[in-house]
Amino acid sequence: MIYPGFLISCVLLALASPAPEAPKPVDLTVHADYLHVAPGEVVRNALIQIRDGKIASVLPGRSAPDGALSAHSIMAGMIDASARVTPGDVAVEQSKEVITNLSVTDSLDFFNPAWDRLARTGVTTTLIAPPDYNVVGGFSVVVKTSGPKRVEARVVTGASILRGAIGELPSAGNSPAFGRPTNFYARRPTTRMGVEWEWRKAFFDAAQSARFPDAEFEGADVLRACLAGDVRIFIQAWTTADIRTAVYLDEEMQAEGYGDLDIVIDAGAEAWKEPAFLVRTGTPVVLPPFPATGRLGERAFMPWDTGRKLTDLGIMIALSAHGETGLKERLSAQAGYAIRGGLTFDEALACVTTTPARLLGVEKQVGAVKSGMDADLVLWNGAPFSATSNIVGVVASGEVVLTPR
Amino acid sequence: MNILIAPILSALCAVSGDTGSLVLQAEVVHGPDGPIEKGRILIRDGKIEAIGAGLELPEDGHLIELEGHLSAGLVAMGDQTGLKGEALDSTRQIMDGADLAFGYDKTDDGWGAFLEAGVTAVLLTPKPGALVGGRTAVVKPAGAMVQRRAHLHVCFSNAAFKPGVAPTSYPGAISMLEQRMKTPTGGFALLGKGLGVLLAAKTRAEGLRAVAFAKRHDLTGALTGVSRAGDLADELHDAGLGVILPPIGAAADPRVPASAATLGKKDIPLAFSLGATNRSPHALRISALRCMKAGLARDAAWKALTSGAGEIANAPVGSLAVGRAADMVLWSGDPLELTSQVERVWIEGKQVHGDDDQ
Amino acid sequence: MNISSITHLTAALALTSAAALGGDSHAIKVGKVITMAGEPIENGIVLIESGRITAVGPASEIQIPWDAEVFAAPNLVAFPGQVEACTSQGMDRANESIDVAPFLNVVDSVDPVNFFYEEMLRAGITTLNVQQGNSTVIAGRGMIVKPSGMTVAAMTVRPEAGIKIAITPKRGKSRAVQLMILREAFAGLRRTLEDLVQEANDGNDHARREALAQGRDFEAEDGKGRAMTGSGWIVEGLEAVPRASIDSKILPLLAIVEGRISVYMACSTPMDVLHGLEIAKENGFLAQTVLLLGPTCWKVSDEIKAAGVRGVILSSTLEHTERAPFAEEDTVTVLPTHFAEKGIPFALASQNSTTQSLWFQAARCVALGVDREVALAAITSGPAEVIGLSSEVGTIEKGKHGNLVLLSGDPLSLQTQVRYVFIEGKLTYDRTTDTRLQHLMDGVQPEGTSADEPVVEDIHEEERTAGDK
Repeated sequence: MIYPGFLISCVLLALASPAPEAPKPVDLTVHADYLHVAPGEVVRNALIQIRDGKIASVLPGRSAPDGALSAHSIMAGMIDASARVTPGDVAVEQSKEVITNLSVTDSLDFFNPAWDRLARTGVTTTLIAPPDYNVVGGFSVVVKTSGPKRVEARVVTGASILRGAIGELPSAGNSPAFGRPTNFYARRPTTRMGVEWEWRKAFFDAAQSARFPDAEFEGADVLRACLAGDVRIFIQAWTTADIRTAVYLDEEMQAEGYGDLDIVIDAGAEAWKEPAFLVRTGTPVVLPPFPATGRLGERAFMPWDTGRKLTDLGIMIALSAHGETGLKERLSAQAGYAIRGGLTFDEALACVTTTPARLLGVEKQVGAVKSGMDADLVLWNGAPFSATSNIVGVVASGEVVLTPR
Repeated sequence: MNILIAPILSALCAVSGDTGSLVLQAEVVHGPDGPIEKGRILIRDGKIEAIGAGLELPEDGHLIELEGHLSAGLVAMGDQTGLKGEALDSTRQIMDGADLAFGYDKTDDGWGAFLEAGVTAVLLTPKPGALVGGRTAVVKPAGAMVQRRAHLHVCFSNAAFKPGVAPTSYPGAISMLEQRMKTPTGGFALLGKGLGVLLAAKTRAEGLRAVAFAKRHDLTGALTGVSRAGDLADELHDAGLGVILPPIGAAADPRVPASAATLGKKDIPLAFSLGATNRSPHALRISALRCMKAGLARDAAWKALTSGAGEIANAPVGSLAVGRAADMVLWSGDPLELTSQVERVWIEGKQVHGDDDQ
Repeated sequence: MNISSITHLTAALALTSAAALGGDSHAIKVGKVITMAGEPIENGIVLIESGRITAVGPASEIQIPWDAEVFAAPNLVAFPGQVEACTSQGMDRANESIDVAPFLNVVDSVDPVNFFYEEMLRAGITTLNVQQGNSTVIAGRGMIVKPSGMTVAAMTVRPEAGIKIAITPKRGKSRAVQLMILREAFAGLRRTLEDLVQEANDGNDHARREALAQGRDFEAEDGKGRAMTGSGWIVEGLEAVPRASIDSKILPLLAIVEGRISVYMACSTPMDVLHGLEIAKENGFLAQTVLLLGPTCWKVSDEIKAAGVRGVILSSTLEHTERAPFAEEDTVTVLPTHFAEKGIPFALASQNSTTQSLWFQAARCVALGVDREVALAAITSGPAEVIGLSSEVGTIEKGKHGNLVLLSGDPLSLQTQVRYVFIEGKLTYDRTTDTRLQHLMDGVQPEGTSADEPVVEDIHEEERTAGDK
């Protein structure tokens, strides 16, 4: 498709898939008093049958068989569209500000206990992105939080997602090239303005390369694919100004006739301030974790009813927890805070399951408890997301990764 | 009863091409096919001519009967003795033409410690600090160079990253290596044509990427620096690579020697390294013994110290096979007992360490 | 939305009707009263007179006095004002640089206009035990306050309440040095007292003359000597020394040793706890000790139970996760259930962070398996007991302070809001007038609190509308 690493991942995945076999007996049975199949769909006294890591069937109105795994309520394993479990700055190539031919996949470490801890908080699928030290950092990858500690077993093929940022972070660490620079950080961009310039230049150059073969450069193919809408771009933009810039970027590309970008705003804390841009362009937003008293990254301010406001305007939102696993910080707690801020239960459930699944292009595989989808389940001892409920069990790809005590 | 000959005399006797052959007899001789009770080795011109139990003494041969165990000298994998700060060139990231052999200094005092520990072959490696640090060499302590270019040293750990120099990341590093492999020149062109690859990593995830790289390009060689490489056993086996383990001390993480035992069970070639320059060569035997305690088979442990290490080192060392150089050690007992000491060491048939008894 | 507007309207009407009467008598009528001293009361009334609760019961059983101001909120739930067992916020600076400074007093440090008190009030916490911070060996005396009032005097509920001792080493010190200083403080006290007794027996008047010169008063009690009492050690013959002769800088230490003041002992690690208990026992203040525990201290819960301390305050970390050096898995200990199983009553804490409200801590305890009543007690009657104010606050019972929180629903529900807070019968917080909270919850900029945001012109508007694409 786009670049060698990705191609290799595809090849490895193909090699790893098993040959089809005759139907086997059920591997695991789980019972729920209340099963939230998907937002708005509840099944009472549901018996979930799992085979080969997938949901084989969901049978309503059954009682729990003796000794079977059982819980008060069960929902689909959660999806964090901005999980940020990487080894840090060695996960993103910073020798250039715009990197389009590399993927964060090559830096993943599945021996890190963080994956296990994240899985036990009910997050079974994540989008891992290159850290935002670059203007464009390369490709993100959809990863399951548990399973064999091998790339082939954990990477999920979804939408092609490129990662970039608008704001302060990409320019941090760069300095004007006074005197004799000792390393490549003596370069632009050094300001937010410069970051925006890098984005425009990248797409401008890509558009030129489409018209003039001589103007071809390394990584141009990916940028052309972005302009064609074949590659989705997650852009981190905390503040109103940055979100505006991201949306204008897309509109400008359209205005110039270069193409139509498919953008998702990540950490769009101030999306609530000027939602008109987002409504107009239908840009989805991934919200960062709720702060206790307002201020967030790059001094952005996000009130608690952001979820309600944006949903009322028809903007697609997902919640994220940035890989945090503490009781108060984890993704399920974020859903609780969103409910406190005015979302209904089903809206909050969508924000952590079906919506992020769609944004990642994996909605056929995860995000709901339906036959044929991955057997990813979160078991609760009460109503999900309530302050007085806790996650007591997690099943991922049919394996029990957190056993109810 | 011993027939005792002064070391000077024995040295004279063993000067190549001069005075004929030497036959050493010991209580046990650890030959390439296993231990031989009351074994004898026939040495001529510094090479092993024959090895066995009831070897006949040739006419010009001196027989020396020794108490103890005779074995091939140990092979230490991964050291920077004598390189004196030339073990790492931080100016460039890819130095596929840099031979550690150029930095070898046979007069360095450090070699004495190796002989005292019964080590007769050392793999010189660069310090991890560049993406491709150079080509390794196999030398004899204070002696000859056995293999000028054994492996291309490729670093997959984050030690290869320097601030402000490309690559700064794992994806960038792999991309850079793949670029070089597309149209290989210099050292890269010799890979697979007699030049092995030495994959340096620290974490298991890095090790997996290293092994995948080797498999992609059908390279032979070994993975070094990953303590718990046992978790990568399937991939290693599939890629046909060996493993060089970092030193395992007495108080180390118990999962590390257990990991080595796993590798042994899967028949993955093993060897032991020394790491930093001031690490005592005695650490080799201690590492092996720790692994044996955790379940590594005796043969596998011995192989890892000697012939297996030699194979990984891409050099004809570590074995008392016929035709090989007579690099041998006399131990006071079984070399795989910690209580055994090194009594004498010969390199190419010449005694280079140990007293004579009068 | 409609229901709450009606509630507000009703409440407003209820207030205005009785406003003209003024007076000190209040009747609060709610849909449910959770007293924390028995079963909840449906359609309950709480009568408060001169700041104290005079009656609690179902509406059918309570006679509302004719002159009482009636506050009717039939859709709200009354809950006792919560009690923060130990906090060091809301002050100028939490600690002094001096290691042993028992002569300090937080009364000089408490800052009534600090946002912290506004946050506590908003969260429904009506009683706070303010102590110095943990960066000390022996700190000064704390006090118990209510989060309302423009002066410290107006905020005071009980002055001179408790003193902070830190076993966990102050930054830069090892535990050995920390404990040496602590032990030496008490040893020094002992030596000083013995010297004073010696001087008095020798007829030496030096101490008394010195104290007079410093302006100390020898009136009444202070002029007399009193025998030393204490369960740890005593100095014989102290009755010969007038109390006023004892240097005021070390008098608080004497109060500790005589068991007259609560000691809040900060312990981060299990070893801190063991040493702390030993020192407390040696110096006779074990029964007055309240332990402030770090997340690992559960490991010595048996010793804590056996010691018989006054109380235990947990940190805001409710689950402790650790991994043994070469283990493949984490071990998780749930702290509130652990202490509950050991039969050790505990108080929860916001731990100097308003982001970790008491009600949320209690809710998480329930999520982790703690009994609901135990969790609720850990933020009301439990901490009241720990700080020695169980006869005054912590439950809605006759005789206690009229501290109530009116909630829009169950106290442990995520969707519940604090609507009103009454402190000693006075309406002190009304959510509808809380502009800062509105800004936090829905981004509404309070009028006059910041520059008006400029209207952003859509700079691409012209381009977009000019000519179709």
